[in-house]
Amino acid sequence: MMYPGTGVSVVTELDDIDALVAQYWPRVLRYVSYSINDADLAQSITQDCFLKAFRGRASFRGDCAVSTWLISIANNLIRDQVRLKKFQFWRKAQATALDVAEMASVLPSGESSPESRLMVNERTEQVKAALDDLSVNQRRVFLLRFFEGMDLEEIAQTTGMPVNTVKTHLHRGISTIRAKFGGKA
Amino acid sequence: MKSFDTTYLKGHLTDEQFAECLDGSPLRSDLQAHLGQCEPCRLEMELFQTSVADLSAASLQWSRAQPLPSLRPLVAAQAKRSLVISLQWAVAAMLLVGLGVPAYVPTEGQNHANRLVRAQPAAADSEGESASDTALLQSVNVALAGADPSPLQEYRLEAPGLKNTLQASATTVRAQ
Repeated sequence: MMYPGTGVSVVTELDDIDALVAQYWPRVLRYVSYSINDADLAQSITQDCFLKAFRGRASFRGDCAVSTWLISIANNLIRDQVRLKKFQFWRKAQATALDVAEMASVLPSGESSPESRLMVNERTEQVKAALDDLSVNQRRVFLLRFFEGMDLEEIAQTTGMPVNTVKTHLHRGISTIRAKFGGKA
Repeated sequence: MKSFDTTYLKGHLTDEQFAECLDGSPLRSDLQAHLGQCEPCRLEMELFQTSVADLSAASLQWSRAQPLPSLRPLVAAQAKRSLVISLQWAVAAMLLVGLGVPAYVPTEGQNHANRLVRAQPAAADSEGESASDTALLQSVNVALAGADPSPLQEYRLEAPGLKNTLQASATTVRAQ
């Protein structure tokens, strides 16, 4: 069965849990990791997300991309974590927070000279540090916009927030990060 | 949408205008014109976008470098667990139906026994008992009749000939 906009046989794709993991795990893990800033908890949430998606695969109507559907499920799990206040504990612990230094080793290799790479590393660290200062909602909306390339409507659909709320969170997030870069306003 | 001339944009883009350029909605013509004219704002915008894109690419590479788990065993274990739970419920339901319902619905023999139990009180009300009860009540009436003064006597309302008249009336009623 072909679903519009996806171009793949979604039923077959969803029926094989390992194939689903192979294709979408990195994107979902990245989104969850950066949303909650905890690598271990992100692994656990991402795993729950795929198990939940697999159990509820019959309810997938195909009106959005599989990745969007998975990220919606991940969003619900992140929201539950925040509601349960577990997130506070995890955030305080920061024992397994994402390591920018570790990430630097996998930075895009478009910059050839060591100086250029150093500058890219510094900028990336700046953005990462600025992301950490955002609220969970601001960070989620920012990631969906700039990492997943969603527009306001799609973000609203994925997060379950009204479009105006999404817009407010996004604008505040952009302003905060702009300020970190020494914005001109 | 309301359009402004770029002359109204004093200095550089405000935070709100900067965010508006990046939020994915169609870019307003006045903001577009400002970005075309103002090099610092354009460079700032490019730097912002490049930096975020670099982080996005780096984070995806980091995420791809993480080991992929195999969830198939977990799914199989969950399926097995849910099957066991379903079976447990099925057994519980069967036990309820098999043991509970017969206990509730009486058998033919139990019906007969129930009828006997219900019949016993009726048998107890035999003629002999009824007669003894009646005799007892009558003796109580007799005992009370002498001891209990009539209301007329009690309140001294009894006229001299009234007692005889009442006794005569009672005799007449009894005879009838």
